[in-house]
Amino acid sequence: MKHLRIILFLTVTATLCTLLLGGAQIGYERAAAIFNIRLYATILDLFAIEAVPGEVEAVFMENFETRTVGSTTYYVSKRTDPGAVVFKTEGAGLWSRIEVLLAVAPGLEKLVGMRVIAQAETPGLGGRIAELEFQERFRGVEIRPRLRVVRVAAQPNEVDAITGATATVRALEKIINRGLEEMDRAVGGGSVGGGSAGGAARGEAAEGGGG
Amino acid sequence: MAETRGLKVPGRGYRLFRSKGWNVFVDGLWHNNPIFGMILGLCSALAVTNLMLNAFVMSLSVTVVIVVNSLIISSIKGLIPERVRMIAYMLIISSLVITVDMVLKIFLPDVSRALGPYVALIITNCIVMGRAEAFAINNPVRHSVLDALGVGMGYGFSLMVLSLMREWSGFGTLFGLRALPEAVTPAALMSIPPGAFFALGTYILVVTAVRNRRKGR
Repeated sequence: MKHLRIILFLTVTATLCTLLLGGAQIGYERAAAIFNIRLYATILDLFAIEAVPGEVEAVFMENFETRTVGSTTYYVSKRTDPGAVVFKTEGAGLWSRIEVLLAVAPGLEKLVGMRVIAQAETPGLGGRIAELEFQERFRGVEIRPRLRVVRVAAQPNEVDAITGATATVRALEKIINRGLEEMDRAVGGGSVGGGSAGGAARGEAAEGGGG
Repeated sequence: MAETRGLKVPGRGYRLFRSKGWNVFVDGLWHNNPIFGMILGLCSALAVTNLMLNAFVMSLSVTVVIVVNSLIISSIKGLIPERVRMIAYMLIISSLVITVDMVLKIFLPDVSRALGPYVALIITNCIVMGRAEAFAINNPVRHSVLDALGVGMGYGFSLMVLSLMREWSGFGTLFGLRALPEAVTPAALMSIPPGAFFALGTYILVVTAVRNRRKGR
């Protein structure tokens, strides 16, 4: 029975390989969860919510609700600034893919803040978008009709750019605005943001009417 | 084939350099170097050599896969039925590559993104299967591992040379650190795909010239 040996061999080999891959997959998911915790910690930091390392996930879950629309996950704040929407967006910079975390204040008229999660732009020029000082310039900036990054910010919807990093900053501006448009569409679909804040507001109005 | 050549080295020098293991190793590293000796695995060599860091991570991944694969294949060579040996190679290679891909995604997410599909494509890299079929299947474990290590490092060596040429001339940096004065405009051509062909052609030309001269002597 030559065939039996072949069947036996392939069955055993395939089983072992599957087990190996299953183990690798579990490890991969564990590690991916650790990366999510980094994201959670960044968001909590943006909202100045304190969390002891190790409790980041629990604190985050207490403070934020997760909603997925299409491929984007939106985190809606429940306590600090209830109704604020946080999400990740990305796009092409000058050389590299830029990944940005945006937090939009309740009412969706201005930003709570912005964080650059990943970039590999020219160090010292475009790479300066990774500096906290630059990212803090986005705090409280209005996003209507459109957020603009300009040489000297004069309007409430303008942010100071970085000298020598025009191309990167323009790309960043485009990425942010496109992300905001996507958010608008998602909110327009009624699946984000309107939830906790809008729902609460409508509830109060109904009560008022009853009174 | 591969292993007989090194044995002809004249019997002088240290004992280590006369041992079969050493010759098997050097064979893979130089005489049968995948890039300029066997002309194998060129697709990935062209694709990932624009930056030294990418090339380094790719070489390391390929070396790990070849070594572990050769180790497994030569240890179970008595068990593998001849008719399905190719399927067995594929099963083992693809499991290894998927694992390596996941490890890279976790620990080096940026490099993993830059390498794109090329890590997963190690599965189809003929070097890995070539070593299993040409060497590991009918040689002892020790020699198979040395052979795999030699070939993997030979591949890595070639990739490092190619990416050194391309990153230095194309970006003016080495491992992301500035290596050309700011005043010099890098030849962006070298960092895009056509540059890969120029670099590879030049590399094979130079190495072949050196090897032919040595042979002639």
